[in-house]
Amino acid sequence: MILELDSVSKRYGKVEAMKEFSLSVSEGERFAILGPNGAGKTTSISMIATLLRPDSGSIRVSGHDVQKERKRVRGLIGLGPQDVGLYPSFSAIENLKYFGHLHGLRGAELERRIGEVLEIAGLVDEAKKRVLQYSGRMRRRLNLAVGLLHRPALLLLDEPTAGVDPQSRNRIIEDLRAINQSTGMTIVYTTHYMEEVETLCDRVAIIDHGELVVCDRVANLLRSLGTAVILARVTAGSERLVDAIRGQIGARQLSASDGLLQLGVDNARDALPELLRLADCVGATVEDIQVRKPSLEQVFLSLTGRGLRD
Amino acid sequence: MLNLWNVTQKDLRLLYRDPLALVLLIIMPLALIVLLSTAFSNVLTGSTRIRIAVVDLDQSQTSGAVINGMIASDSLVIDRVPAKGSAFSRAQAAALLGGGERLAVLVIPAGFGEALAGGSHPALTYYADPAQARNGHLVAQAIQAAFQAAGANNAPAVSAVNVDEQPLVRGASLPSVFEQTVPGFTFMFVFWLAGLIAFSVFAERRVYGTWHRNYISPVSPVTIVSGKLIAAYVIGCAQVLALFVLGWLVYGMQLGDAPAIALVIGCFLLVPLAFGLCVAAFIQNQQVLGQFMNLTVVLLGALGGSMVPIFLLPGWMRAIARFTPTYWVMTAAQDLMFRGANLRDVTTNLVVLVAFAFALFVVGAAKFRTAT
Repeated sequence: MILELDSVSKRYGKVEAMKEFSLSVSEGERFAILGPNGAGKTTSISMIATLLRPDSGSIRVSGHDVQKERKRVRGLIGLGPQDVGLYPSFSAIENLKYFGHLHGLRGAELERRIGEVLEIAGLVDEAKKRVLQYSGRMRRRLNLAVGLLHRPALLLLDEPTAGVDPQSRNRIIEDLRAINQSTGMTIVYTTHYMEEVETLCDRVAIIDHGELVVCDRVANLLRSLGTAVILARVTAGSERLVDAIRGQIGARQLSASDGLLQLGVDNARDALPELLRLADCVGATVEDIQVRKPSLEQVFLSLTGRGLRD
Repeated sequence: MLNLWNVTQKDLRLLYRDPLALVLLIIMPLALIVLLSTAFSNVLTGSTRIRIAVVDLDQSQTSGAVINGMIASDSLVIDRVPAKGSAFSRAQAAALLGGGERLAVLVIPAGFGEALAGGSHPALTYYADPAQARNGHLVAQAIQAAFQAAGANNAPAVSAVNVDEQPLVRGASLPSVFEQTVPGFTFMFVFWLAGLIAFSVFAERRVYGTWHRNYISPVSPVTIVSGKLIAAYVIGCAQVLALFVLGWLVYGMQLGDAPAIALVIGCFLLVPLAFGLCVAAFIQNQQVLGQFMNLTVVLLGALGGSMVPIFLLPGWMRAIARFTPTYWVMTAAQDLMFRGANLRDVTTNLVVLVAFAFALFVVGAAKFRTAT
């Protein structure tokens, strides 16, 4: 395992940011920590990156304890902080040279690595421009390039796509996939965009209020909802409808929150008319009904009873 | 070592690319030196009251009348010092001058009243602070005016009184107003180094977002902070050098014992560095930081004798001045530049400056560690 968290807890005053948090990540994995704002994503990344000390529990990177062997761990990790971490009055090359030096890179080796990461970031032609002349998208990509420069075994990215336009987001996700495939670098990243996780990641840990809700392969989690999800907006009699559905329809998953009924089913074609019939029987009013492919948003709703963006 | 140089070089380059910071560090003090020197000179030749000490070895009715005349004068503040015996030494005069707290010490010798009554012209010894000697004529004028006032009542031949200026230190020439303002404003603005360090840390943490990236590199946090402090030290040296060379070339400022002055300044520069570490650790808000630094620079300058010579300050402010590092560097610099002192004479100043730096560094480093 390249990363192991064992019963990690962290408290800020009265707020328990992480509670007995455990997970492990294998080498070469693309792993996401998914959760709503305030769930503890940045706290977890900061602790792995040696920026925060856990109150209890242990974190190991490639077998090295992040508290006892900080220097060793810091040589193994690369960090893409949530906010871009670059010197704006320096050019891309100057930023890369400075951070490369900090990681002990010098001379021809440094030049070669800079060329490589500029290529990945698509910034070869803009490399001598000062960062303050860059667009937000270019800065994000350079931010990622700096994190890759010393070829870390474990790349930690804290919401790398937050505040980025959809086109740039897709590009960043594609870049990450390419890097992982070409170098075998393990990527652990936090996000609250479940579409990104579905596109990029092998496994995901869903967290909420500092607790691990579930950790599994993305495909398994999606499969747990069946082949389709029926979302029904029920304006009256939703509780009666839920009671009626139980045992009547072969629902893999059933949850109701604020009048929104969610059913994970294997056969939507059979389940849909049955649902409408039951609603009619119990006098429930269905205002809107949709059938969707299962998503992590629905997994989160089914596990926590609320939406990821609530 | 390579990493330390790497961080230092980065901070120097960042500053080089920030023209506003360069303006603040070099151009601002220069403009103030030129502008306020002129204004300052006018203030001294105007209605400012001059503080002098008077030692009456004569204890006659005439000497008492003369001293009362001085006390009544609008231009003098008189500190009457009780006479001990019939002699008065230069060392006693130096102690009374108190490193610029008083502009002069006037000694009325024994037999003065008798000589005046006998129609002779007795010599009056007037010990001046060479660092303020450019203003010595003000003392002479004020004393003569007081004698005239006293003469109106007691009628001795006041015009015959000979006022004799005696520089305390052999061979020291007299400083100009620029020789007060150049070191004064230089030392005052050097304190902006503290702001520079604090703003730099603030920018890395809150604006550039580079603090964490630096922090999680294999280079130790001590190296990263030390690199920042060394960069500020280099900038401080360049700032002082530029302003002193300018004062020397353009305004003919004396440098006196230059190697000793360099050592004093070298020790003094440690104070704003350590203070910068404290400010960076305790203040996390950019607006508060700016206002705090403005206030600190002005307060230290005003209290420590950078903006206004110490002797012009009221007594309670002169007492407070000793708690400011600017007081200790100003008095050391003036002793070395204009009073002919050597390194040994300013040992106390050096020790106090290093103690200031050490105390601030200990507090700053401890808080910085927890704050970041």
